[in-house]
Amino acid sequence: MFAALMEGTDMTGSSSDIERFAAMRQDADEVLRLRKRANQLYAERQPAGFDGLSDLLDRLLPNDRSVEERIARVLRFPLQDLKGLRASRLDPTYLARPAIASLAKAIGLDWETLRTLFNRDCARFADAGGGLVARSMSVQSDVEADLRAAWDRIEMDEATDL
Amino acid sequence: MVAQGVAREGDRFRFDVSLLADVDADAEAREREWSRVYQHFTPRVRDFFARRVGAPYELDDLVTEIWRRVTLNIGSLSAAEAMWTWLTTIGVNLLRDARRTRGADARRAEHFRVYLTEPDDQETVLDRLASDPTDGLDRALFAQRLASLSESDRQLLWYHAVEERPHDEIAKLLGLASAAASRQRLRRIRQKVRGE
Repeated sequence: MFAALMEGTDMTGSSSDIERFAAMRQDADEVLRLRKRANQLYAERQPAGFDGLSDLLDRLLPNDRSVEERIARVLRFPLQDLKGLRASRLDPTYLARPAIASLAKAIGLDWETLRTLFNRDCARFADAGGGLVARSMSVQSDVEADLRAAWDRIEMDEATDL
Repeated sequence: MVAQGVAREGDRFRFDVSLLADVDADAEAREREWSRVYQHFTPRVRDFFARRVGAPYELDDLVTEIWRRVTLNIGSLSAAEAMWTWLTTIGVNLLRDARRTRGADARRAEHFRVYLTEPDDQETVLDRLASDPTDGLDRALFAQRLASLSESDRQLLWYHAVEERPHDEIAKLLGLASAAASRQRLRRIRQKVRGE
């Protein structure tokens, strides 16, 4: 389809570049659709009302495996980590902060809501023990500061203030 | 929030921002608009950053990453006139990230250089290596041999003895082919510090 659209246009990049871009953009479209679903859900229920990021993601992420893969790929979120987070099997403390921040942006959360939901998941894992060491306040504070830094970095790439 | 605006080039190029962001719009029209935007800006972005990055593959990666961020955040763009500034701002932000990472790598290299010359760290390394017959090894001689190791050997020792990382991780960190390669190199390092 994409090649057909290129006919008659002034090509400035190679066809393989353009095809790669089209594939990436289609992955990004799944994130835009995810954002739309999120907005619809938030109209019925505030995101901060969920039990954690895991709970919210499980409501929002599609069950279609290929779509989930596309979302994970374009957000640079390792698929197994995304599945584990969604299924409440993984403590988000141990996941890459930029990936979590990027996912939170994709589903339209603001910082305070992300912070609340993230800490709920972390607290659940800390309480459950489950072989994980309970974290001190200072460690949790460092984790939160890292997440905030990742969040701020993502905001630097938005066009909002241009 | 945008860190820095860079330039005003390309302001005359017009496109439909709302069409790009509307995932429910006519797919073909939207595809055409995206490809028009991509083809217009990509050569300009490449030219702009070509002298700012070290290698062609870095430029490719940079341009790809810029577009990834644009496609994900297209909803934040309100005017076509701002596209060029946005593209270059993202690129500058990414280059700044890369510089910070390189700075951190350099500081880590310095860390290895300095800290494996500290007696406490040498003790740790020696204790870890003591699973082999190093009991009779003279500590001063050990320190001397440790200091004579290459930086990458000291890095491997640091990861193994101080950070207690597994060999598969060490292999990844040092760009070795496999965990077996890391083990083999550690054996050679042990031989060096034992003077064999």
